[in-house]
Amino acid sequence: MAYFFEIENLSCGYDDKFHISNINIGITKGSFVGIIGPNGCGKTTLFKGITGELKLKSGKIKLNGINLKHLSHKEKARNIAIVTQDIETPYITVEDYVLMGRIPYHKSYQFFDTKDDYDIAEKYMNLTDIAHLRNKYLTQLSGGERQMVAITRALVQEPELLLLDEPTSHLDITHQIQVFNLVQQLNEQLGLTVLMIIHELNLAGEYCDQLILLNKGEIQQKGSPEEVLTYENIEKVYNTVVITKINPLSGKPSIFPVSQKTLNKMKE
Amino acid sequence: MSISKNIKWGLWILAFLLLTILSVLISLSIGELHISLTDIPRILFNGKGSMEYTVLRDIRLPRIYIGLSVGGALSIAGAILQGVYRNPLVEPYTMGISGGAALSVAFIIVTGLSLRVGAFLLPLAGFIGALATIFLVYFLSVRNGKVLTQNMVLVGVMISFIASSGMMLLMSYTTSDNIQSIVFWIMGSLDEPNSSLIALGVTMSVAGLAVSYLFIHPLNALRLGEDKARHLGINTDVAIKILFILASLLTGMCVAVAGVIGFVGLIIPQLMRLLTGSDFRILLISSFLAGGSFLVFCDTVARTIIAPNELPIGVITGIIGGLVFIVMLSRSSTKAKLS
Repeated sequence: MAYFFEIENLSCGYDDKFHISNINIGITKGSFVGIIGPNGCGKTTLFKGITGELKLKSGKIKLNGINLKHLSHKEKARNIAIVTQDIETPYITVEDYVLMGRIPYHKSYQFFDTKDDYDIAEKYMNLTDIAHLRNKYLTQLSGGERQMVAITRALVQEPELLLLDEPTSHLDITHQIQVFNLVQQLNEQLGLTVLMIIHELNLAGEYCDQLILLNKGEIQQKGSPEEVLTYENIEKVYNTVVITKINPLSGKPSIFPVSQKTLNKMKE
Repeated sequence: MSISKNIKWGLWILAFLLLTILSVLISLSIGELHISLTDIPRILFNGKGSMEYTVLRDIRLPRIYIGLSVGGALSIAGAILQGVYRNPLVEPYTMGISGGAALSVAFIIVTGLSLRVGAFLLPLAGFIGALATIFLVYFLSVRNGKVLTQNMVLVGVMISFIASSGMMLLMSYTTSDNIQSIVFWIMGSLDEPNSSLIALGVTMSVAGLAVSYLFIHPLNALRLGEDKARHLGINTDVAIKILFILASLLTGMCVAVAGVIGFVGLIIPQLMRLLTGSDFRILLISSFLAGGSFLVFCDTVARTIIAPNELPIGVITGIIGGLVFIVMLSRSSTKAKLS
């Protein structure tokens, strides 16, 4: 079966030091896939390999069967939108920032944003509920608002694939869930395919259809949250004792940490 | 809303055009020989042969051409470099360019080549010195095909120090006449007798403005940083190289025509960013116009304040520019806008 987004035998990394290898991932259209793993497992390296910041040592990345290498920068930006952990905060208003998502569609001699550009920006600002922030400057926003604004800018690129690198890593649980709910809504309502690096295992289990667990630069396990978030996998990769339970409302697996003190008590 | 933004930009452009016209009129009128504003058109069109005509045509107008083109070119070069390197302290001259250009000119003066071969060697040496330094800084900041922006500024500062040491070395070995010509050249002036050099300056600065407008989207996207600009579909490697070469050529031209005039390329784009916002679509044209009028204005001050003597224009740009900038910076609300 041909995948919508496919990573074949990818290996990449930094000279001599760390690298990831033998990465094979196939993503069907419309799925919500999470990449998880401990610090230093290669999540960000993989992300940079996909986005082109790191050169691939070998392997291919294909979108709709087309090798990304053969797409121009603009074509890539029209198909794949990227949201990273940190958002630069130049002195730009929310509306101007969101409109920058139209840059991949502009000819180099086109000075002005068209009415279409404004309509598209307006549509997604309403969808993500940030329209009331339009005249605020990025510097005036909270961390949660910034992520919502960055996701809106990504949507304005009208991509087929949304890549997110730990977009909630600096946020509290309220804003984490707000971002995850939004991404889920986009995934379901717009049919947007989502590939997201996630730090929080429980959120990954709750929201994703598919999880990819990385360990030491290789894929440890991939599959449904139930297949990946087993205590054997987590204990092996994270090197810590946990138990897993099923969330009674959603039926998805959740991880509970076990402290050393509890372990000692059990041994007695 | 799109309309209101376009109207706002239109008004800014109109305001800066008026400012430019005003600075030109003042500069035409004021000087050792006062010419009243109402007489200027009559003298320029029918006054051939009169002393006023000569003063306007042969002295004041050429300086205005140079002021507008050098001020404009330095300002867009500064705006481009600040945009590409996202560092508010970057300007053509903090990248070590003035040092390199001055060293190269000093070398020509000290070796006597300018006397033997011809005076045209001085602007040529300035141009080559400026470009050589820029490319030296560039290649010293490249690692694995990527430019390390932070390194670039540091390398630029270090090159300035090395160049100024080299120049002191040259000056310590040469005659006081030579030292005087070196100092005179370094301080910069809009007084340029060579009309083809003036024409070259005007052409290059207008062409530079036009070319920079072809890179509006890369410049705007680069406000978010190089990686994010690439995510928005910008071929950043190519765009940054071309923009860098453009800024270098413009700076080299300015050095060749007017010597070293600091501060314009630093403060004008910064001020414009505060006034008009950081969108390059309005930032470039307003920097170009404001930079030109600022330099024309400074030149008027430089040649009238201690008339019949003339102050080096770099002194005026430095003092006015520095003071304005400190005042603006001390208002803490503006700091966020600049970074």
